[in-house]
Amino acid sequence: MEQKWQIGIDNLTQRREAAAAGGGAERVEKQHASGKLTARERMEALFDDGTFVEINDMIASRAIDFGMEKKKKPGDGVVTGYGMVHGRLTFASSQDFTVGGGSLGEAHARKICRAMDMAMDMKAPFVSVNDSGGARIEEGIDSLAGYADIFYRNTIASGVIPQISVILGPCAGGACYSPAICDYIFMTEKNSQMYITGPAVVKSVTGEVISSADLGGAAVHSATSGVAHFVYPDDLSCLNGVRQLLGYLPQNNEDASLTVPGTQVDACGTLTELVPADVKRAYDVRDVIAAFIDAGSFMEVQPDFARNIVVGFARLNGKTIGIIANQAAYMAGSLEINASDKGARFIRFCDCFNIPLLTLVDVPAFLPGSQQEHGGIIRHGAKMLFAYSEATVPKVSVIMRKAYGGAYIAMNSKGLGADIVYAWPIAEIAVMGASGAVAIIGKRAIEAAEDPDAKRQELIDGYNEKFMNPYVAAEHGYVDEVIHPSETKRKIVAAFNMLENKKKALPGKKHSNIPL
Amino acid sequence: MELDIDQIAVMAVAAIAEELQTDASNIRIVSFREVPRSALEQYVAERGISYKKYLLGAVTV
Repeated sequence: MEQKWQIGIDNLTQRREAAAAGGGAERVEKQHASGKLTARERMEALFDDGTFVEINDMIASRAIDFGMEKKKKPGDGVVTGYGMVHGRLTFASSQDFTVGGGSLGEAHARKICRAMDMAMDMKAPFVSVNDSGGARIEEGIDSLAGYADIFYRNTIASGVIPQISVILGPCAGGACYSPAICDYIFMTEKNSQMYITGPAVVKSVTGEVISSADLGGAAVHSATSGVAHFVYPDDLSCLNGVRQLLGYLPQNNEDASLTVPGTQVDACGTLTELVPADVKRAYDVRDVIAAFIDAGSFMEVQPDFARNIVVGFARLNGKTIGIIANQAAYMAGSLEINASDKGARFIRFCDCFNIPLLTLVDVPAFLPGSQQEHGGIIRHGAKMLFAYSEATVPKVSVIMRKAYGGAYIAMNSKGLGADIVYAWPIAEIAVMGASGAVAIIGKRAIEAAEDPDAKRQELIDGYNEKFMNPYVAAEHGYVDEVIHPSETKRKIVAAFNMLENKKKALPGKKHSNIPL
Repeated sequence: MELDIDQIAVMAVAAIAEELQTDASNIRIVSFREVPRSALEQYVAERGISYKKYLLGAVTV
């Protein structure tokens, strides 16, 4: 080999090694000691074995203020590239906390933006792994501009390609808004934090003393704020979770999800045992779901937030569906502010990405009370109505037990565009439950009666007989068919097969104006 | 179980012979290169972590 070749190759090898070293062995050791993987190890865990291709590995900061010219590192604190997940092209960025705390400067942001642009050009999902101290202060306004460039791309890509944020370290300040715009946020139990202002600022401004975990840890965001969708114990299980989720999703808004053959289940013969006929008795709707979906295929989204509604992805005969179900075991399955937000966002995601919707209805009402009214249940509940009405994917409902009032309408009723509505024979589809209805419409008769209690019971019995069944709704066309519970899977599969080629377009408009 | 290089080579030759439906004596090793563990493989091995990458269709009942 000629000497010039040798020099060139040695130089390349040296540079590659410098880029791959990240922040150096000591910092990598520290990263590992805190239970975290390095940025490149995370990419390896995310992608199919041996498929990850790095881009811009030698990009570096152009900043010179505050001694930055001496601190610059190849890669500028973020690893970006592409590879395969389940054999399908996926793009990703992974912030390297070992390099300048993963802080975001101009080059760092430009590198992420380039990967996002490529994902959009190739119509492939984008996964961003966050582990960063925030904006690189030394780069001033250019850091902030970098965030804005990312937020803009997140927004334009929304509804075109799936975007997933994985928080595996700190994510503070404005940095939180990229994950917030993405479709799904993953966190780990111990090492993830998200907050707009950290504990120190909170203390200085408000005097409140609070730990990082209590302010913005995974437990808070998965159960209280609803910011996070999935939580896992550590980096490896979390990135496996991302792989699992991507297995349900199409590559983009014009694509279909993969069909993944699994073990088919039809235990609908047990549904009459699983679901008590008495509407006041609780059951876990996830047992109902497990009775007909492919074995082990349910991936619940936000399982700890607004537990009165269950949403998630499942496979039915190998095909992805989105399920929205009232959870009778929690707050009787009523709809309130958080459940409405959770349900509406999931419906809109599925509609963006051509995932058919199955709705399992057992809803007593929108939750009453001043807390809900003052919190804006009108505005939030409207999101459910809006999301269902706007969704053009196949929409199938099964009314299992209660379906009362406005909440019945909100749960994919015929009027909101449900394609097929089934009801079980014990379903009660009415404006409200019998005792509430009789208290209003029978008030005078009860007051005038010699025996008010007997009169009340007589009116309740009459109301129950006349209205608390699925047949009035079936007669009026709001229910397509009253089905035996044991037929549930067969009917749902038949409906989705019939709807497979459904094409429905909304009127031309710039965009809708969902009540936010 | 740790295998030495000779054992690995024998197993590889046997697998290739089976794939090609020929006798192992017809297979000749021209070159052999040991691929080092990746950073992630090393991390997992050093800590004795039980880790299996999630694969589609790997769901078991």
